[in-house]
Amino acid sequence: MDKPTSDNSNKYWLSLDQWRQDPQFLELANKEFQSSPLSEESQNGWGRRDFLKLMGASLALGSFGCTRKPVNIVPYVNRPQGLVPGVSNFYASTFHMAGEVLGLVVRTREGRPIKNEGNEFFPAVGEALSVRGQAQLLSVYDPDRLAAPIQNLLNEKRSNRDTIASSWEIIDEEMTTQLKKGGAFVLSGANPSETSRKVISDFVSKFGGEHFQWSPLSYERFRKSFSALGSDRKTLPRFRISKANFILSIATDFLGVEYGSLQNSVEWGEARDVSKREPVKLMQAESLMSLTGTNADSRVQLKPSEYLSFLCAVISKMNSSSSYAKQASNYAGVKALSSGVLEMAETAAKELKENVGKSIVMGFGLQAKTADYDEIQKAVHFLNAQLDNDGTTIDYSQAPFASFLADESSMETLIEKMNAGAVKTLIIHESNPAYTYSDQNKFRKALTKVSKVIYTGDRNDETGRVSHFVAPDDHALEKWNEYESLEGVYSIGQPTLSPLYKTRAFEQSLLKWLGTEDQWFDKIKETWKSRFTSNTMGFSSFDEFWVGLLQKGVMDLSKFKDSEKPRRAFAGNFNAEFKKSSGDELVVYQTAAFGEGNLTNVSWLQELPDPVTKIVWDNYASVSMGYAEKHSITEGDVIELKVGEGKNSETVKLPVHVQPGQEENTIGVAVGFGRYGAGKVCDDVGKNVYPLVNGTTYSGIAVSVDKTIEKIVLANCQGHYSMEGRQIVAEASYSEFKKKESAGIHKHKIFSLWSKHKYTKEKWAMSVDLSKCTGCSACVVACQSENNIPVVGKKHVLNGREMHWIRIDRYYSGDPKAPRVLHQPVMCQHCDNAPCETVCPVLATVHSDEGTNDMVYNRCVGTRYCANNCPYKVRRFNWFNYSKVESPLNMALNPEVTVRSRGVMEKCTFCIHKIRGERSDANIEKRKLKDGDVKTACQMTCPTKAIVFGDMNNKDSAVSKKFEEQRTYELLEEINVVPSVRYMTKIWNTDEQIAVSHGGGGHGEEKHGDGEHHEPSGHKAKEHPVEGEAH
Amino acid sequence: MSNNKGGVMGIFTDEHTILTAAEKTRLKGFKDFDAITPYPIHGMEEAVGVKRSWIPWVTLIAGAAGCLFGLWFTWWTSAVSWPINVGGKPMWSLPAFIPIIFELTILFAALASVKVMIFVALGLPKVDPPVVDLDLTSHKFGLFVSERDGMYNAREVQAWMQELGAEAVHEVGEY
Amino acid sequence: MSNDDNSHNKNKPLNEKPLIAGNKTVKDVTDDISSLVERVPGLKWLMMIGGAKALLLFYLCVLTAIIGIGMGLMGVNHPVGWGTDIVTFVFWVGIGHAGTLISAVLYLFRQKWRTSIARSAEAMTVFAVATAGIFPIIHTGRPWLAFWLFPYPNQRGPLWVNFRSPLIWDVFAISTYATVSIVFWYVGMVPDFATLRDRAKRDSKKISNAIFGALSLGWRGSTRDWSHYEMTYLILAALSTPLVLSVHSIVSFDFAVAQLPGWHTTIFPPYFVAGAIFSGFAMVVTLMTLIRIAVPVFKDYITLDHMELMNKIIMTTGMLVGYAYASEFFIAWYSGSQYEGYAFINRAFGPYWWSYWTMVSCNVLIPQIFWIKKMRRCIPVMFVVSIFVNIGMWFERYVITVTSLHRDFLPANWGLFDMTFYDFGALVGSFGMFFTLFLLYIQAIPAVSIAEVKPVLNTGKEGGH
Repeated sequence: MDKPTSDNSNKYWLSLDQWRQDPQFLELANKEFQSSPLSEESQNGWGRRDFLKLMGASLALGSFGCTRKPVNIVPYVNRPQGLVPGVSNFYASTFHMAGEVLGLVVRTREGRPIKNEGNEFFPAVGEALSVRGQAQLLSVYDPDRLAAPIQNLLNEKRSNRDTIASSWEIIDEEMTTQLKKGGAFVLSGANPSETSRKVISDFVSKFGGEHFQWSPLSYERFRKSFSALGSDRKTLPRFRISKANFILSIATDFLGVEYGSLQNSVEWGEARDVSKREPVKLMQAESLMSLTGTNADSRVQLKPSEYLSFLCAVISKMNSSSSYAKQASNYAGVKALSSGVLEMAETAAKELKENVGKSIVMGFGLQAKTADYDEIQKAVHFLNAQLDNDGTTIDYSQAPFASFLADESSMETLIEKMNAGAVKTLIIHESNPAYTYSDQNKFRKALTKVSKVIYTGDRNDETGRVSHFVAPDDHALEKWNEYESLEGVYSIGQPTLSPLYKTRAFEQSLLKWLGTEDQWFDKIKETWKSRFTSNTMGFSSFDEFWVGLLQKGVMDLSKFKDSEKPRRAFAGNFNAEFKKSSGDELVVYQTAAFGEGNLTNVSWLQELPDPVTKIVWDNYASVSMGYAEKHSITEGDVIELKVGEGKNSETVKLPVHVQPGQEENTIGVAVGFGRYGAGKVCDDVGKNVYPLVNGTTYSGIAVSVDKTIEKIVLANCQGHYSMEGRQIVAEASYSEFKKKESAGIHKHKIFSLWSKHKYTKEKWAMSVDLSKCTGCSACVVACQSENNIPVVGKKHVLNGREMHWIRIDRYYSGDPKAPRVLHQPVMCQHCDNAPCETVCPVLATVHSDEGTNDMVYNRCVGTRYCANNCPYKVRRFNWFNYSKVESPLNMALNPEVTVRSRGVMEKCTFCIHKIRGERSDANIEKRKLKDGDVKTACQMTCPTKAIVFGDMNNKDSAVSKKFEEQRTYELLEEINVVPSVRYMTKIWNTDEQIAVSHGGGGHGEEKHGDGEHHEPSGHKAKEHPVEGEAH
Repeated sequence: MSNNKGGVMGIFTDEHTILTAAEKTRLKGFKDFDAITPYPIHGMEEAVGVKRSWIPWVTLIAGAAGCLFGLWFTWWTSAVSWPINVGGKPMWSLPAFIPIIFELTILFAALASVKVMIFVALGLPKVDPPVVDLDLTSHKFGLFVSERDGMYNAREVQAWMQELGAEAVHEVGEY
Repeated sequence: MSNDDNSHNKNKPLNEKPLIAGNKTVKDVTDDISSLVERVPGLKWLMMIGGAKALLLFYLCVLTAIIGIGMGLMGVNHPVGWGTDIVTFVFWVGIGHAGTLISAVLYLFRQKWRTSIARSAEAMTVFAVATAGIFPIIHTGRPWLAFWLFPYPNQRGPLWVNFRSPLIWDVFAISTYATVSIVFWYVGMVPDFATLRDRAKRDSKKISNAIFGALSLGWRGSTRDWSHYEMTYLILAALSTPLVLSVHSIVSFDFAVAQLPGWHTTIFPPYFVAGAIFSGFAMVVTLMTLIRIAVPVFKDYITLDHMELMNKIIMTTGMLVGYAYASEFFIAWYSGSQYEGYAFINRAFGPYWWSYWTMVSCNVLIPQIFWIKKMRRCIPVMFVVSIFVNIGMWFERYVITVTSLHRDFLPANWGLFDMTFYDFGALVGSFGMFFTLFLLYIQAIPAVSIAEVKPVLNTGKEGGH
């Protein structure tokens, strides 16, 4: 295994140091490029210098030959205990990203991690894992990671730099002298590691500085708002959705991107289990179409400036006597609301009153961060207090979130200190302010006052380029750490491979600079010692406990039972001034993939279709259909967004995406794009919209829009959004479901000309409950990681060549301006009468005796007839040699799954390699396979447990039970391909008539399975212009 | 019709003459004689007394063979040699195999007929066949009486040719 | 001797008109036709083949790129898995059919007028099928493994092929068709080779004598030979007729057997066969017009009467095809299947409406001009029309393949297909291959069957029988 040379390392050859050191370099220097980059003043020198550097690089390579060094991976001659070649090892570890802490089980092969999975012991989540939790794996092998520390030689104005190689020795040396000056500050993102915080505090206290935890998307204001309830905890509440009957969410994407969205999704899965209970009813009041919005039973389209008014309207309908309620009811904004909205407010109030103690009101989300954010929180707290929800459905006494510690306001303080010259040394850790902070001029100006800036990032990105040293921290999977996710729930971050490069744990560096010989690992152990009392987790000695901990990965010291709820009295005054806002309002939102802008160089995430828009490889200005019509702009037209006035105004040009269900005069833009220096994958993908953010106000920003003549084609994985009145996603309202469990399903009379084959062994089958599926897309990434699915890039996605084996089809039904949104995961349906098999000339795809539709890559000639004949179009073709990836990305490949070569067809295999693995394990243990032994990648990671997989020949298996339910139907049943994957009706908790026997007729027999014949919802949509297909 | 024998060949210039000539020759009692024409002449078979070609029988048998082979091959490969569940269809899906069987029938029949025609019936290929008159493949017609014929007598035959109106008469050593 | 000579015969039924103009003797025929093979190629011919060759070279470059770099160079994508390659494949196979039809079917019906065009028509068949044969191979993802489509004993089990797959039927149908066509063509040429052999001997041209001697297998032309020969020829004709019908039926199965809305239709076999004859005859007309220009003497053998007859057939088959289009829509509506229904609405009014209406106007409307006799007999008109028909028939296959695939059952999969440079390259280049072969044929092989023309020389002349 060779060590990759990150291409930065090739650019080092123009530095003064090296001039002195290398005699060979003098020869190079004699060539035409002697000028020192530093001597060049203005920007116009850049292009030439880059060229020279590249030339230097090539010459350097030419003269020094291969600069590669071996990575020490586990040698087989003396193989370490417990590592069997060809057998996966599983290590418990922890995923942390911007406060989100999740349990991991990392599957490794021959000492290299190949898959992140959820940790079943992790409370409130179990095996589920978020999109980012999955994708973090690939970032270990990111070819653009720094292989060693580097130094940026910054000029006086810090406007210009040259990068040279550095080493830990140099840095330590520099630091020891530097730190004598004192004033050493640490700026980090949310840091949920007690030990780490302790090390940092030791450090800053010794060198007379401070530690700031800052994140642009922090929940500090939300946390503070609890003072209105007389609470001053450091924690954030958990929302016990499974206990609620009604949720009113104000612009809060609690299933998609907000804190605890994974925990929420898990509870959502229970709460929407139609077979067991009446599904929780969700009303989403928002401007954009968020993932949560797509799952809402009813949506209220509001401008951000109307959020508070809406809440007040709800309060006014609550007929509460409290003074706050009176003040709120008199809020001028209420009158400004349209009658339709007021009706919705009334409904909401009605529902809330009916569900005292069983409802949730929330409004903490990023999209709710309007000027009135604090007032919104107050109103929300008032309602929850009023409704007795505290402690029952809103739970901040039992294991609330303790990991979201960042404070968005702390940056202001830091900048003041920097300008005051108090900050001599600034260490930036797990934070990228030079990209994520909205007022860059201010920040960068302040930074010039700091004599040494150290950045611990793993690449020379935005912040890297304004710091003197980039001292790369180990990757989370290479490093020991420990975290507190929920209060009292501690988990261990266990390294799963030895560091690939010359990196050093950030805390280790601090310890070194403190002048101690302490090891970071010992510090962690100390912390755990302090937590260990005799018989924690049933272990008598610490050493046993330690081993047990490493095996389980998590220790739950929280009392996880529901104690009596602490009654809190709401004490607060309503003091908002209503300002009528006219014109367009901007909403800045984050995506589930990138959040504030982490993991952007992970290609899986760049090519992960946005759960709602299905667009990849770009961010865009999302506008409503009405807006598009009014200003006659169409998908892909570039518009210029202008925020602010005069010289401190900011503009960003973005292509337009026309989004059904979005509020008329709102424009949505996503952060996390438009990075530079962050890597080959993500540089120049989309635009950075942080500059548009107004301080800590992310929503309802006044914006002016100019049309440009430019056009950018957005790569949309799903161009057509109407079901055309076909029965694809069967949907029904809960009332209809109560009347008739098979409501919404149209059954066909089907007969076959020949008798079916008998399946005597297992017959693998899958059930997908559309009522549970939120469309979060975690399964897509899980499948990609499990099955070595290549990423093809925007160009090919535009040509319809994305390779995902499982895709989530998203349909809009009803009026596109206020549609119901349906998510449908579609993978190979493993049909008994598979049309693909019949037409393959060379028997490359055939049926196994376990009912799976197998694809024999070696035999495939690539006629693509199978793909044409697949009614679900789930087959993917290798148009080019996609599987060839840059080293070391190839280390992320799962050896249990064939890497497909050019010219062959591929598709979902039902994780056949897992089936085989479990089967052989069972054989070794001389037993039959049990139900639940085999879990497909998508099923395992699905937070809502919408996917159930198993043996349908076994009548007691979970999947068989699902199949017996009346809600189960086969997709495209009428063409009698007899799929092994079956879906369950999407049940909405509303009273409207939804169920349709699929429209447009199209079935032989006169008598229909079930009576209802309404105007099929799809037809309405059909009248409206549908977007042209993307490819 | 055996090859490589001598005889007498009369050359004629006109389609009608050769036709009547052949007719007369047959009626006169000649058996082992033949007409050489650049193109098939209507009624010549009767004139010379050639029986109807037996090639159709070859076609019939070969065709039947092809059909049976196709039937057996598709059945054996898909249902016996390696039976695979393809699209839930029966192992021996006869209807789906009919096109194969049909094509094999045609192929066998056609190739067999042509091969037999060329190699057996016509006794071709002949390297450098004897030439009497180069125009026999262009616009002249020949009437050849073989020396093997019972009534053969070179002189008389030559006279007979003249009588029939041959433009030229050749004594052919080997034809 | 121009074709105007027989203008006075215009109103006679064909069998009373002379099939060959300019009162030729048997010898004239031999000389006329043979001389073409014997003489040094003319400038016109050289220019034509120069162009064709250049196109062929370009074609080879395009194919190299596609095979070397990957299928992805072409426009095909997900969901449109088949594109230009298959469209053009079906197009060329269709072209081929008219040849067999003229040489075999008309032979069975004792249509004497076929004799002068039969040879070229068969040549066209062979070359068209050869051209078509390239496409199924390059359209696969791994062309170097295409031979796996043949069932041969192997070390994989042995692993045979899937005889249920229409692609395998294709393999058998096309290869059989190619083989039989070539044999049929060759058998027809044997006596002519003999003629050429003897002429070569007379002019003592050693090499050509040797070549033609070998090709003629030592043909002699005795009555016994002729009797077997004619019988075999008749049998081949009798076998080719069902064969040609089966081949395009099977090609249509590629679509009809799939369950895709717009493909899954029982009308396809007859519809495709009609289309094939249609396009084939159009191509014959195109080529014959060109031959008449390139080699004027052929005007006496391929007379306006021949052309007129073919134009009649073009018009008829054109209307057959038109009927098929109409009935498809009727069935789509009558079946009540919403998928089927949508597929056809989408054909005519979806994103690919232009291709559909190009097809309809070229194939159904434009040939209607042949109702007028003047037009039927006007060379420029029929040349233009035949070109239009060829375009229209290419678009017919385009419509069937692309518009059915791009919007099928699940709207989430719907996509669009655009041709890339390589699509156009493969399409245009294939003509280079075809014309190169055809022009070489014109030069090297008697383009009219000498032995077959002679018997019909006197047809329609006073005193003829």
